Amino acid sequence: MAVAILLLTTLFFGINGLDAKAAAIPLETMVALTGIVLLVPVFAPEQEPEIRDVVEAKYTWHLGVCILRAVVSIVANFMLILLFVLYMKAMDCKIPALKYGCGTFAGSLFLGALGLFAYGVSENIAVGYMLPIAYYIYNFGAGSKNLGKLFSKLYLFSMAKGSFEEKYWLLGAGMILVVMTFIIKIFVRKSR
Amino acid sequence: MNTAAMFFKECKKTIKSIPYMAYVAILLIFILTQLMPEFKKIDEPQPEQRSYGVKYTEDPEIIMPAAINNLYQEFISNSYTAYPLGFYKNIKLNNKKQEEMAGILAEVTGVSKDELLQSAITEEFTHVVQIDINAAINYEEFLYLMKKADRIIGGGSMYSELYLYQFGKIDKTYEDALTEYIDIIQKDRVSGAYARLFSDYAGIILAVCPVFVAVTLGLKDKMSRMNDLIYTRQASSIKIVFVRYFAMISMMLLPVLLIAFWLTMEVVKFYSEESMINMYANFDMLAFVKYTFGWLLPTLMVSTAVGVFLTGLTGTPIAILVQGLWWFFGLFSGIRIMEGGYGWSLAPRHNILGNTRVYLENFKLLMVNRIIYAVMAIVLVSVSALVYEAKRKGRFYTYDSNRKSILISIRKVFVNYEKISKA
Repeated sequence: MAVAILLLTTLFFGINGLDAKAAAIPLETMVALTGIVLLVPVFAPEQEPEIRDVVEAKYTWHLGVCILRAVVSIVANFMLILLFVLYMKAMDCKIPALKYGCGTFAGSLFLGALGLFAYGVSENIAVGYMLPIAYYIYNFGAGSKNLGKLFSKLYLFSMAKGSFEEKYWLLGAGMILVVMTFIIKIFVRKSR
Repeated sequence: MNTAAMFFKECKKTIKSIPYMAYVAILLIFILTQLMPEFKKIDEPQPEQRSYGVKYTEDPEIIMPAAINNLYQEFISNSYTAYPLGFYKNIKLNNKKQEEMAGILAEVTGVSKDELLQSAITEEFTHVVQIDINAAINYEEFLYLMKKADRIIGGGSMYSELYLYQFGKIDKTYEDALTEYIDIIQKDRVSGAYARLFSDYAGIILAVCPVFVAVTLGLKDKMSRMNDLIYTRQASSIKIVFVRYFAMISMMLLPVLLIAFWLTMEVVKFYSEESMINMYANFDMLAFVKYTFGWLLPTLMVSTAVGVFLTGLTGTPIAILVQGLWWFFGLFSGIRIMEGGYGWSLAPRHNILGNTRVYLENFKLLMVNRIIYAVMAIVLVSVSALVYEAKRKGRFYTYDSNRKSILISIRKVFVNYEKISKA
């Protein structure tokens, strides 16, 4: 699905000979969505209570497996984004590949982590997809100036406006959300 | 269980679900943070104002030179802007196509093709030529040549029929602004203009969020192992599916209606200083409610129906992906008709306070759009009832793997296909 998103991006957006600001549009509006696809379903295989109870009863630490899944998803997401950015560079886009790759990844990680957090807390996959999409709509409609003090730091489309500072915040917030999700999961598991 | 009791039970189930609470919160936050800053009193335009905004004219004298200048700028930098599917696309042409484009420019300006090509290959644009419209070209020929230019670029360019009008951008006069104001007062009865803006914003949420609620409730029976119990009940499949569907629709429409009532009061406040007679004569107190049912309800019906249908058919949350993609591409392709025009969008856009003329001119198209989507939703739910009925009769749970029905093939693709072990 993440690969399909990247293929659709090349189909719908022109990625030939773009300048830095124009190149940020497909990256931030579409490529960053791969984070939702890759990171949200980490707990999905054990969504049904019966299956979860069986898996949790096994000797292998179940949350450890979920953490491993999350790490693999994050690494795969980074690699996919980087490959896409390098492809854009090869298509004569005037972009610093590593910087743009990391910037897109930061937004992507944040969206995925937001969904993972929502899914982990609510144990409802629909809520897991709903929250990052709602945040995406919110950013899309509001623009950086109308997001408020806190959320303007977490603006998803900053590269297209020529600013990179938000990406550090998104990366940090994304990592915190992933860690918090697993901490909450550990507490919930212990209390069961 | 009678229908009314079943309906209220389903309503209760909907309200208690987490995605429903999230839906209400998202809707409210979106309206408060995005729409409310746009809500302001519409003042009567005064003579000698600094600006009255802009409008688009169909005057060839304005459109032709602006379009040609733009085409020439794009030609010399070999960087053409296009929106073939609503998304921004930057097009670079190969040498052959650039030559064809030079031919079009030569025809429309009278400047030689070689001179134009020379100006395009200079890196620092030192050979930029002065271009003017060729006096021998009439507007029909110009339109034909623009169509050709659009085809060379690959469609969806600024020279396509859809975007060419944008070169006719001019300042509004006092008379224009006054006519628009009178339209809002007389034809929209003030609140109609605000209700359209509300429909624009709320439509964005209603085109995607309801699918999450429908998917969660659709999967609930499966997750709590209630399917077998419900399948054996006496209630007909049509009744079960439609009662659930209408319960979801009613509960999701409820916060929209409450917001609509509240916004009506907010708009009334803007005009509370106007004379009471004038106010009650003009003001349409039910405009928000009318727009909620006429404009927003079909959007809500479709996004919920997609969730009901695909979740019922596959037993997976695939509907989120399908509706998510539909919403995403609809949102981007709708950008080109942000201020009205509507087309076939699931969530028609009207991101401007006023523009009553555009609304009235496109009213029939909008009405057909809304009716088609409402019918589509009912058809989808009816098919869901058929699928549900088939499941109750055990059609999806056959152990005979040699049966080649379409439904079994679909099921094979998605979930839990059970077959007898060869052992």
